[in-house]
Amino acid sequence: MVSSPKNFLFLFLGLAGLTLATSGIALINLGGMNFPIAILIACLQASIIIYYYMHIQSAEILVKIFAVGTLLWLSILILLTFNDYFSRYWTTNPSLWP
Amino acid sequence: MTSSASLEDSALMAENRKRTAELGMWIFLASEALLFGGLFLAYFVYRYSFPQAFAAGVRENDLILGTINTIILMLSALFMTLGILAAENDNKKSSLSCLIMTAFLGLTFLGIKSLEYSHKFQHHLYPGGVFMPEKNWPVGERIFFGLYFVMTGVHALHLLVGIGILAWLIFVLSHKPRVRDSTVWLYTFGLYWHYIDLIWIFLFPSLYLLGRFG
Repeated sequence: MVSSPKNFLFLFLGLAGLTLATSGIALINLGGMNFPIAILIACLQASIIIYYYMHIQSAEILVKIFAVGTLLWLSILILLTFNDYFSRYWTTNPSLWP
Repeated sequence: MTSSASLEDSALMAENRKRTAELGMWIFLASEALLFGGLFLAYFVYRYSFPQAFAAGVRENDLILGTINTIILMLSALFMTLGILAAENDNKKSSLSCLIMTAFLGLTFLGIKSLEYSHKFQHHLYPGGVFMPEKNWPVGERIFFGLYFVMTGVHALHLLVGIGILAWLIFVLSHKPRVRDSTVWLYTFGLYWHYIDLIWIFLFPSLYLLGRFG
């Protein structure tokens, strides 16, 4: 468990380094990989904040259930909507059918 | 006997208070996640419909200012945590100076944000009015900048409320002889503060990075 000021300073340096990295990578043309890399780095930063700054690892089980529940509802919101959007033209254009 | 029992009771009550406050804040943050989730959903649905316009919109945003602002928010999260740690050690002076630094960094973020807003207004990059007649994708870019202002605006509003509450906490703490008794307040507020940081971590790639290439 991280609890000393020095460890939090290292966490900040890590987060700031990831920010500079993601900004730098955005300026390089990686074709289709730019999008997933930016999202992956953002998810990594978010995990660091939730895990260490918001103390989810030492929180009690009820708090953890609410945190996981939030992710669950968010994934329903996003996945079901994009399930619709990605498959919307399949019925009118059979060549796009898998 | 009664005094030790009541001491135990008050320790138990303090522990219960912390647990209740923490859970209450997480429930609030869960509802906030669905608010911002809806905005992100709208963003990605429209991005899917207007990919070129959204890429052009992203290129209009200042990458350097966005990066600086991201690091400023992360630095404010560091000072928030240091303030809580100092309060746990009952170090009032250090705790208060860390919290003041946190509020100052929050204001700096808003200052840079308002600078970016003024650039947008100068270049007519806002919904309504005469909207960029020279641009190639007027419909998609109008949606992009509509979402840009709503998403960053709601985020800035949360930050503004956070700075207000933080100023009030600093005022209350400076009048208390022992800051250690107020750790629950700081800890619960800290969750909210880090959450604002968390939202920005996803706003930053969505509005400043994705679409510079590819």
